[in-house]
Amino acid sequence: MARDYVHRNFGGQCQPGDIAPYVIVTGSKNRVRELASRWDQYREVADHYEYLVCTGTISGDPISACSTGIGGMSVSIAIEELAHLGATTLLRIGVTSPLEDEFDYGDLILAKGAVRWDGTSHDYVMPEYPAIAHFEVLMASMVAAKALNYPYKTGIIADMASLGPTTYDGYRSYLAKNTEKMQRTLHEAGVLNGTGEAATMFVQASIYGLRSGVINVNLLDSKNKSWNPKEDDRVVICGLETISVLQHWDKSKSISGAKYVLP
Amino acid sequence: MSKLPEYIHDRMGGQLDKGQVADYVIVPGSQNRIAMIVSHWEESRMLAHHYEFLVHSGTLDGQPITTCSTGIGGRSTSIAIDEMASLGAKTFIRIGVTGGIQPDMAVGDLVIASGAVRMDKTSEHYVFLEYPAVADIEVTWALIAAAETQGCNYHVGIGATASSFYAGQGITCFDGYRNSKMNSVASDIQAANVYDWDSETATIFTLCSLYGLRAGRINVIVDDPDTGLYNPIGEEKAVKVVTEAVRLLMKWDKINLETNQDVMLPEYPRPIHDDNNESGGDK
Repeated sequence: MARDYVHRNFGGQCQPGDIAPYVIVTGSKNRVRELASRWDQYREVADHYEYLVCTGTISGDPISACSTGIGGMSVSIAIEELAHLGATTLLRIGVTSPLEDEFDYGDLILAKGAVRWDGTSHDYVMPEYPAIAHFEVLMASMVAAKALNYPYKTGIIADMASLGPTTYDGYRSYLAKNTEKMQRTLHEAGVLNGTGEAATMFVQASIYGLRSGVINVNLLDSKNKSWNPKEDDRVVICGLETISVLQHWDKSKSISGAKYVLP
Repeated sequence: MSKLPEYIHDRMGGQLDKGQVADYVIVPGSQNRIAMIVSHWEESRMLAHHYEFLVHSGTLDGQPITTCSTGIGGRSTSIAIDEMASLGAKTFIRIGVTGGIQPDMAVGDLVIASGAVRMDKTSEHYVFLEYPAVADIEVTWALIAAAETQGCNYHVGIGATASSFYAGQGITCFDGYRNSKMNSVASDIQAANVYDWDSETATIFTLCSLYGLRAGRINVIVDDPDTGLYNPIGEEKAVKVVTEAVRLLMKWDKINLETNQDVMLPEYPRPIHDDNNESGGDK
């Protein structure tokens, strides 16, 4: 299909109508397949670079999932294309290891906002602009996590342009001078964990008037200091449940004419 | 009066003691708004008047409540927050006046801030610039619920906090003076979907977020886009909404304590597809 930019509509593979208003975004293509496998039905609408996009229904309501790849540049393209194609609610799910010790393995982290060390969001707006979750999406994720009985914490997370500050040892134990300083800085500010995509999405969503939120799961087993994908599912299940809660609220709002569902 | 202050502004010039500041603190910019705020309480008394900081404590529905004016700008606001916090304040709600930036806003409308653009500069002394100035979700929901029950026109979005009123917002200063660096700030802020300007919110949000305290903000639009003139038509209404929001938070906090939950949430919605799909909800 002819298009103005290489990535427009995910390489020209999508058109308006192919993307549901509710979209779960996640780094990995595998997690998109995992999400879609839990829906009533789905179809693959695009597979372009790191973007695998599926659209289907969950309990009869339309839903899409889109992989973003890792990092600000690729997630920013995904958000642009999704917004362009009619997405209005964006929920990112991902896995993480915490910066603070207070987490148990499998705990969920629901982001209130993110530190803009992504780089990419600075192309969009001045650095003083806050990268924050939408209050409705954040509350829906809290309601979902509580209903599922998953332990969770809300707080500020950090978006970073590389893995640098979250890990001590690079190849051959390379440690940039700046790394320890960055870690100390985040620790002082009480930042919970690191990610690569949250701040970029938050900033784009706020500018465009879309709702967005982030759910991460801690997969670092602090007992043996190892990465354990066993509870990877939690973020998938809580993500789908959050979308269901939002769909329910949006429906009841459209019936009652209320602006919000209140606590 | 207790011991001498450690710094000039410590405990508002040494005029306050621990126990005199309530958990809930309403922070307007102007001292003049204090009288309007306390008129909704059963009783109140003035505890301190130090520079631009006028502090009253009293009771609302029998529960302790405090109000403290911040003066204008980040520096004085940061002093107010630090002093109130060290005296035991847990929840801050700012009430202020503003001009709306987006086209669907009218004079008298309320603007609830979900976050703030940190052009205050003061907050940069506390934490690096890329850290987000975000409102507390519970306080934000209390303000929304109060605005709803009071039947107000309101908007919820990101506000911008400037470190100067004229130059900082890109307004032409005395004798036509303009700093060309600020020529695009107003249009950039509008394009980025920012809802309003003020001089305190980003400082309050950043400090409270770092300190683990709750903060929310409601501004009332007093710049009439039709006449271009100042019109405080919504101020009384905004004070009423803030009072109702504190009432709600007091109620929610009690329930949270009794049920051992952190945050008041809406009930988990029963699956919509209840009737024809038994497998809904958490599978």
